[in-house]
Amino acid sequence: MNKKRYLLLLYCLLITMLTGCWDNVPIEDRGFVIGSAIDLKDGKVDGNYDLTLTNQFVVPPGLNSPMNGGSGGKAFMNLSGSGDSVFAIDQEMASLTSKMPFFEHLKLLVVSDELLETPHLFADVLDVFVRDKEMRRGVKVVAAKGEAKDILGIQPENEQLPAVYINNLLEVSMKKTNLFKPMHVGDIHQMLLTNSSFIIPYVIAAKNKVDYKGGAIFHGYEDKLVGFLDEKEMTALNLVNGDTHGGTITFTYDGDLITFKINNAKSDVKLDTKDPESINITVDIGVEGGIAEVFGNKNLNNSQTLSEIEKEISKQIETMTGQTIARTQKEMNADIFAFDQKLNERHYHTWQKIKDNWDHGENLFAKSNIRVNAKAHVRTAGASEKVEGNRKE
Amino acid sequence: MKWFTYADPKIDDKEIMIIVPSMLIGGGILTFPRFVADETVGSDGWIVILIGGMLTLLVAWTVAKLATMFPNQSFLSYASAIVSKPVAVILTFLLGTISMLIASYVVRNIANTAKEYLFEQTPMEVIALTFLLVVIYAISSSRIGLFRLNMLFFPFIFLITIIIMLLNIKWFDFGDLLPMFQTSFTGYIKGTGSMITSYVGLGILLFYLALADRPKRAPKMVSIGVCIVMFFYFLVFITCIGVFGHAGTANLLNPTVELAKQVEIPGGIFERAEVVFYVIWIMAIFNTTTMAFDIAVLALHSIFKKANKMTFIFILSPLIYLISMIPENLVELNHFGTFVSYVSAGTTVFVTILLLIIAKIRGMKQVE
Amino acid sequence: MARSRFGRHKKQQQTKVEASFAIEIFKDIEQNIKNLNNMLDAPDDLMTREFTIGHGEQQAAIAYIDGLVDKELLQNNILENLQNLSVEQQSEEDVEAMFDKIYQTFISINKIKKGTTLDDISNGILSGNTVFYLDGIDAVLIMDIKGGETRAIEQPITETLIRGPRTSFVESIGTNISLIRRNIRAPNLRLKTSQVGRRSKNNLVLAYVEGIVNPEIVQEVSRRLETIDLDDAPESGFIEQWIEDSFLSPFPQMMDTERPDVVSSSLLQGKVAIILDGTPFVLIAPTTLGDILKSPEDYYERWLYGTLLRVLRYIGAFLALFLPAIYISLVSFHQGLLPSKLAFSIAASREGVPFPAFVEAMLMVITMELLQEAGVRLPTPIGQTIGIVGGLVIGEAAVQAGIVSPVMLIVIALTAIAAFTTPTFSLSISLRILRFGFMFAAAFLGLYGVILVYVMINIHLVNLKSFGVPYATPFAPTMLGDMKDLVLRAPRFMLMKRPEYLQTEDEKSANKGEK
Repeated sequence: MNKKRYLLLLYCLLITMLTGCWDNVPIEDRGFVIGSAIDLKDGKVDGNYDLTLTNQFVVPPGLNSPMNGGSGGKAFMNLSGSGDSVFAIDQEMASLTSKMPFFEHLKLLVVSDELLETPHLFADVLDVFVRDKEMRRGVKVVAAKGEAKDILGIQPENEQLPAVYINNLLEVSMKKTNLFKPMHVGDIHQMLLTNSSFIIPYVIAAKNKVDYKGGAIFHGYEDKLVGFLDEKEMTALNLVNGDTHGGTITFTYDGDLITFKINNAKSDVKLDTKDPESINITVDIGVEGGIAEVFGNKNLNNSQTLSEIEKEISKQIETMTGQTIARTQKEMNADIFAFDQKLNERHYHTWQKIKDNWDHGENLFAKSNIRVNAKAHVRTAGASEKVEGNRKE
Repeated sequence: MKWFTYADPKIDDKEIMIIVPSMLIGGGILTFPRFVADETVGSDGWIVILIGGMLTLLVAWTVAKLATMFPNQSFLSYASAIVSKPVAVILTFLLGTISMLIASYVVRNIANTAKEYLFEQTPMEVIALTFLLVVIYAISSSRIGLFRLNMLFFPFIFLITIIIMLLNIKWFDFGDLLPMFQTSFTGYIKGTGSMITSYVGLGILLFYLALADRPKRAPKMVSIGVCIVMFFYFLVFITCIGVFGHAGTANLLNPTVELAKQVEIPGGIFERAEVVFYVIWIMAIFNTTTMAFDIAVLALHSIFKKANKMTFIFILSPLIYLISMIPENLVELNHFGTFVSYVSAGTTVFVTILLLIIAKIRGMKQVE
Repeated sequence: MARSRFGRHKKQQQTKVEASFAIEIFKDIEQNIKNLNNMLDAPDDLMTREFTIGHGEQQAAIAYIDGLVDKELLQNNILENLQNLSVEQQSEEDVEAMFDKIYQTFISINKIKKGTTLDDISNGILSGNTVFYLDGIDAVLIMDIKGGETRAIEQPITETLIRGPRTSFVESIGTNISLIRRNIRAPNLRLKTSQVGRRSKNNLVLAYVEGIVNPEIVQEVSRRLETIDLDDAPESGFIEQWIEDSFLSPFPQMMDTERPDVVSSSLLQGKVAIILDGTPFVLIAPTTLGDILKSPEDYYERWLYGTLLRVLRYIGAFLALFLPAIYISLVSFHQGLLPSKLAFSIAASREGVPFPAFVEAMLMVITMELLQEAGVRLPTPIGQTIGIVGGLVIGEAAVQAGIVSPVMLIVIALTAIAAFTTPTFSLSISLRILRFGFMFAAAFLGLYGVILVYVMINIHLVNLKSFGVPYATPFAPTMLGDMKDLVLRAPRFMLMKRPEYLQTEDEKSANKGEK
């Protein structure tokens, strides 16, 4: 009995050893893809869109590590291929690099605005990034003005890999200012599933950096890019969503320019669905922050001035959010403020009735009345009352 | 002093309690949030989980009551006492066969998911075979060893799941839990129907409770075990909904693994926690397989008392392996799984109730 | 042919030796001494001193082996007393009376007994006693004046502590027992002596504290000890291997220690100790996996530090077992698991390494084992040099030559250091053996293989027993009461009970506030 048991153990070991090692691929033979860019070539080929995929491969020896002092070579290599299936282009690329493309370290996906503007194409392209098991849901997505592959071709000065540079940019922004809210593949997947509209950070390539141009609005139902928000409108959007801890509001008070830095913002959305044809939405925004910069020489340290400034800031916020909301309602008809989600959560039955007429059909979103009430609190006016003495009037 | 008597086959309270989660938490935990979310709205799935759990609790309690009416008697012997020997043999054989089917389903399931998450080229046959060999090694050792393995592995599985949940808090959005209580009645029914497939395997208690050290406490322990499972499922489901939203959960193949995929371990020791999670989860699946296999062996052994235990292991292992290789793709495997689950749940309930009723009719009193 | 002849030869010799043992003692002193000389083949170190006592008519003799006895004792307490003896004797009865008188009054040795067979004589002489013959008597006196050179008590070499007693066992069993006695003054410390070794006749003592230990354990250990039948047991390792539960297991099923404090505390926990003459290593049984990861220092230091040490040791054991295997699977299978930056730097450092990670790891692990073995064999000062030369020079050169990657070097060095944190050498050997198993599994199936091997080891552990006690307890079967002294070391006042798994007769080892 005992003997048999150990014989069995021996078989176990033997079989394990004899099975060989199908999946054993040495790490140096992997072609780490760290960033991908997808562009749309003009026209359709055989009824399918002609895509250009650019992959950024890491060249490990080129990475500056303290040990080998850097061999001076380039740390990355961008390869492009064309075809109609993203996955097929990836496979094709294997023959170009001598290394199997390996996507588990993919950090960034760049798509061109042209591709986004083509209906349904973005969702189709994204499929492989959700379906393939090597892909992660945490891959960040940005939209590029012009050619997407140019984004991967920039030469940042503080990072060796462009993709890592943009990735860090988005991460720092997420933690510190929340200006550039990174969109992950997983988030987009969730949005596409519910046909919700969303914003993708919109960037443009410069020589050694990328410029943040605001956000690209992707309409969930029409399944394509419908417009852009500039930086100020992005701040407004973040304020409505109440998830910002950064951004500034510049305004004039008593003839002087004052800059208010937002530290924290909260928003509370109230939905009134008595009349499904025209839903009343009230957004209460509470903002906390400090005075960051003052032109002129006012002493802000008295409660009257401060409360006036607070009123001014509130007014500013109301106007800028109001404008932004109006623009999304009128121009794009895209609910990027996630009101649809809140309707689903809080007024499930009403939502079930109107969900097919929200941002399409009868366009109830565009018809709804959205009011914004803002309340700003200036917590600090800075370390110094003023920079110089009284000015000559 | 009890341990110094060698190869003591008794199982104590804690071990009985752990048998239930070890058997029930198997392949189901990876996929169940999808099935449940499919049928329900918002986070209402937790009600389904609770209903399913309560039904399971009822069944488990009944099974334990039945088994403890005849303390320290094997299933075959008390079944023979209630419904004549030939019927009892048939029932034993039936339960053994179902157990064997569960084992093959689980083996195939692990091979499939391993191929999904760990391997690319390695043939499924090899993955399944290596796993099965380790299972055979466990079964050919002492039976009490299996319960001790449960005790060893369960804390790992529990801990890793809790850790994954905690690390997902960052992504958790309470808004996703809304709306609540909006699911239609048929949705609850359908949801419970598919949820039951994740609560399968209680049949083993019919056999194992004969080995209980203190049979009188068994029903209580078994119930606690079911509660653990319920709590576990509840936690996983709520986290899935909170993290992926309802639509995301309903669309992911293995939502629980995706949870692990999402995690960023602080300090960045590992980039992809799902492999770690999956690897630990192999232990859970291992426990399920060994017990299912062992019950098949135990059932056959109780029918053919004269033969050696090893003989059954050598007969059953190729069978289990071959059956596990029959489904050609994921869809067929899922059908197979659903079939096995329902048959197993049905048989367990049927056999238990049948025996209990006949025992009551024939006026059998609890034997002290 | 040759084999069978050898076998027969062996058999004949055996019977001859056994036959010669049963010879009775004659009355004639000359004959007796001749017999003794014949039996031992008159070796040079066999000393026989013939003399007369009384008024010069009574023949007497003593015999002993040079080097095994304390000569001063022999001279002062035996020879002098005998030669100054003045007893009148005329008849045979007088001779017997004289023999009794000598036995009772004249010899001032505390341990003395009568012997009646040649067997007694040879056993006595060969284990360091002196034999006194008196002409006309068919019995002898066997006087224990064991002496000769022994090692002084030194510091333990294999189990050093920062805080704790500095004594270590020595080769002499008497000294060792006295060291235990000094720690446990309880009257019910039992020491059962027996002899092992058909030819070596080595003394073996089974020690336990009655009233604490579970009698079933003592019974089982004694039963197994009785089965020992071998020529020679020079070291307690022979005993261990003869009586252990599973010879195929890579795990030590008994603990060996050279620290008296470890033995005495184990005895008080309800374990038994097996002490063998001629070796400083004492066996402790039963042992569980948790026990061999404990060090006495955990208890000597305050509980926080003790807990830290325990946790470190578990981490150490984990790393020693898994680290190379995990490295292999991460580098060859699951590159996605590594943090991106680390993945790139490992890829960069492995660029140009000619071997796959598994071969590379094997090379380095084997090198490390060689270094370790070389360091043990060489005298201490050179041994240390070997460590430095091997570790630094070979490692550095191997990296420079591009044979191994620097990361691998770190992994292997870490593994080696982690393996040294295990307090018991025998466990660190098992870890080293199992490490190879994990490495193979990792090379073939990645982490899937590693976890399967881990499961297999667990299967083995839950089925393994050490003298009836499940080896994996208190992990499984779970003993919650014992858990507080396992990975964590609870404060002293919480450790009031003896280990539950030992099923001791007296459960409590301390009482709070009761006096």
